[in-house]
Amino acid sequence: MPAAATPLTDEDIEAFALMRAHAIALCIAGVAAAALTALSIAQVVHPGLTGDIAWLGAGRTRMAATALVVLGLLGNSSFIALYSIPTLARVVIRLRVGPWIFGLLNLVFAAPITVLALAGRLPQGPVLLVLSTLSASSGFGFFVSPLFYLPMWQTAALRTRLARSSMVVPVAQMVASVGLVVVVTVGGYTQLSQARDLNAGQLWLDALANSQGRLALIAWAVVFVGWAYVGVLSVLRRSVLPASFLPMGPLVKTAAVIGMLLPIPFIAPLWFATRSFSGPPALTPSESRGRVVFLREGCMTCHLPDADEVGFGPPLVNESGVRSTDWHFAHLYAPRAVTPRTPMPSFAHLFAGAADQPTQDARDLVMYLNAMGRTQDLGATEAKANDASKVRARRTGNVPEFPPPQNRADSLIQYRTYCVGCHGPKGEGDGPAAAGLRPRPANLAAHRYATEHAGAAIWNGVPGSAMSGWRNLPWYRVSALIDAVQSFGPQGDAGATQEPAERALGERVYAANCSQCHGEHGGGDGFSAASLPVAPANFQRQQPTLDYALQAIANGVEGTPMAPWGSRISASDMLAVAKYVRSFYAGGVR
Amino acid sequence: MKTVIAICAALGLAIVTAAVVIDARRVTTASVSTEEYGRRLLTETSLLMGPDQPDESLRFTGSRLQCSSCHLKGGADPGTLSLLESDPKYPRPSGRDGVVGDMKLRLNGCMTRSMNGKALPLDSPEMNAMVAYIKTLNGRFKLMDASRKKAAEPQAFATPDRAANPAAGQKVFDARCARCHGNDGLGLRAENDPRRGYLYPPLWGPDSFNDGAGMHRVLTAARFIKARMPLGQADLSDDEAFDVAAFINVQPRPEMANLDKDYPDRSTKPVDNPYGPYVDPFPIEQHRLGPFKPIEAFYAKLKGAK
Repeated sequence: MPAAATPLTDEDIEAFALMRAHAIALCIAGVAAAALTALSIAQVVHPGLTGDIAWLGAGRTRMAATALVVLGLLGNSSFIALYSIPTLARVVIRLRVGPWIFGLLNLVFAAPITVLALAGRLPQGPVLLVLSTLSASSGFGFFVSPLFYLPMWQTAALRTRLARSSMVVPVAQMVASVGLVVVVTVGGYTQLSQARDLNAGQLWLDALANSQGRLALIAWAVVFVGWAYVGVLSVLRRSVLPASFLPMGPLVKTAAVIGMLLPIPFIAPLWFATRSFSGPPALTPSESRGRVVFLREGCMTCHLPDADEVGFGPPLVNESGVRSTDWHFAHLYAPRAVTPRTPMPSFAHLFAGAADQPTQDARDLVMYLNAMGRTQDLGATEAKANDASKVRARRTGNVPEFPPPQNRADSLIQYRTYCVGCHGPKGEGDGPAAAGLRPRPANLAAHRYATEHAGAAIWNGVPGSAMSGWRNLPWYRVSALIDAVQSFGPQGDAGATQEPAERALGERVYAANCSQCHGEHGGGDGFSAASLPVAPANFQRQQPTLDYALQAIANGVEGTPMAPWGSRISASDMLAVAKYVRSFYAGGVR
Repeated sequence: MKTVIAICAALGLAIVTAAVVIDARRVTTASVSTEEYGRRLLTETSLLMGPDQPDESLRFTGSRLQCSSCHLKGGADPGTLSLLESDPKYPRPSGRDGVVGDMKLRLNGCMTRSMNGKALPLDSPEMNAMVAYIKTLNGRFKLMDASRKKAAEPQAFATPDRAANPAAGQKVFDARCARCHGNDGLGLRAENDPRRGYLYPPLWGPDSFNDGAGMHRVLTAARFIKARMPLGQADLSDDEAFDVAAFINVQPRPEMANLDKDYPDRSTKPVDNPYGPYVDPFPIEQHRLGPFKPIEAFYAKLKGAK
């Protein structure tokens, strides 16, 4: 290291002044971000603070928090870039520029990237190219900046031992930034060439989603921590820089240090983000966008990426194929409509006013959720899928024999905890979350269910519908739920008898129109059944009321392959076949 | 110095304001060309691009079919008309268009024929989305294990050496097809949301594919019927599939203009192409119903002569 001191120039003085301004700005951003984050966590921990679904407006709060965090991060990187460019201009082409150039460059570098990262959207075409080039230039700034503060640092090193002993910092920064520049430039352009209209943040986050990305993240951390170290030292140790440059009171000084250190914790979630939620196959465009939404909305704050770690929320690592898209939409839109006491906040800002009007962001997010653990899903066998996670809801398999329920009151309490959101307080399939679900939740009040049938639906879920398997519940609870479900339906067997002539007519109509799906004997096992997205009703195990049966035949069942038959068969045929299907019921109610 | 602080502060304020404004405006259901949109376009074609789509600029199909009416499960089901392995096949020469075409050209072939609609602009979000989806399917296919890749289908259709008999086909239709597709073959409309088109697709009539569609070729239709129909119980014999395909294809359906411009090189016309002009001397009836052996022999000879 050269021992000779380089005298500080006017430009250096200007630069340090700017550094201070930056520190103050970062500090403000950091404190605000911390406050908003704390507020978010408070609302998650104590949702009562803001009422039941008062989180609806929180999208903007969360966006503002993200904005400030990004501002903080970009503030650091942009400063380095900003400082290096004018210095480079001065050294290489002997162009002398004043402090105004910093403001201008800040606008050019940081503002568009920040705004677009927040907007979650990048324009197409040449604009995108320009912006990508700019973000790559920021990487260039990372690389060259230590070159230019090195002389100043040497000046300081003459005065303090601390600075002298830490000359390694700028060198490490330069080395680390090489990898960073490569990822930002190469990764960014690769992404661009592969998919034109993907998310803005994706350029950045996708590059992080693999092993090179992790190296880049380490590099980024080294650069950033190095810079924070230099900055903090300059603020704290007046002896590092001449006193006249840093006329700061203790309050400002503390604030500046906090501001510069605050972004560090936000590296941690990014690190988590690089840990693979799902192995191959690679994410599709929609899933990649969903990943950006997942990170932007802070999902991993509660849903930790490891199956073994349980945060506020359940792990999502094996979410693929477990729940229907509709269920996710209803749940994201108003979680408490689905599960009354969940601490999950609402993400209604991803919807255009209703659970069945998701924005592309919501669709992509759900695509991403469904990509988690897809490897097992594609791996065919159920055994493989089950190994992955205990809580994964399997879609087939034997149903255990559940113990008898304790008492009706307890059953109804369990029902209100787990089922009421979709099936409604009286089991009529009209809960607050039901609106967006296709098919609609079962109308429990209009059916009698055999015990094993209700048990199988709760244990395995109902494929093709939003009903997921509840295998993570203790058996006695499943038992209570079966009891509650049976309590809503009709208790007697009224109206199951039929005149022989009418029964013969019903049998004919059934054989001609219904048996291909519902099976010769109403077992839901017709030859077409296996090809249908939703299993046809098994009339041996569930008995609709006459009213419900008539209505289902006439109007069809929305969201299922059950078509409206009103225009195809006469009213008398319909009545006959409605009564006929009720005669299949083989009982099983305790 | 103060100026610099002012600039920084103003900039920060501007960014936060912009973020909030953008956040407020970001609530939009506008679709972007992801494979997720593509999947919906294939499975909910009628709803998203059909004649009942409220947004006129998105009304691309003239029929009320879904792509998945033929490409079962959105093309994700292995077997006949599966799209799982489509992506690597393009670009490839298209006899019908007389050029080497990419997937987009092929998709527009479907749009104008099977869907009886108009071609999608090549750079539209819808086109890009469908291409993205089909590419995704192939990626997924490569990762499936062998048991998943195998199609659950009967033995492939072998063309009977005779002319198809639409009258016999009608009997098969009444016995095996009418339950779902209706005695009139016009399908079963999803009446509680008509925009969704049909639950069971119409096989002819105004909402079905037009006469330029591949499915209007009797052998193509028979291959599909043999492999897939009746859905879940594909057990028709070669003769039944052949006859019922002929019965379906002699029914009235929308007509496509300028069909004589197809196949610039007429010697590349498939033997069962139901519209002329042909380079061979066989009558059009024979191209529609067979027997195909003599026509195949003619083209084999023609090819040999070349």
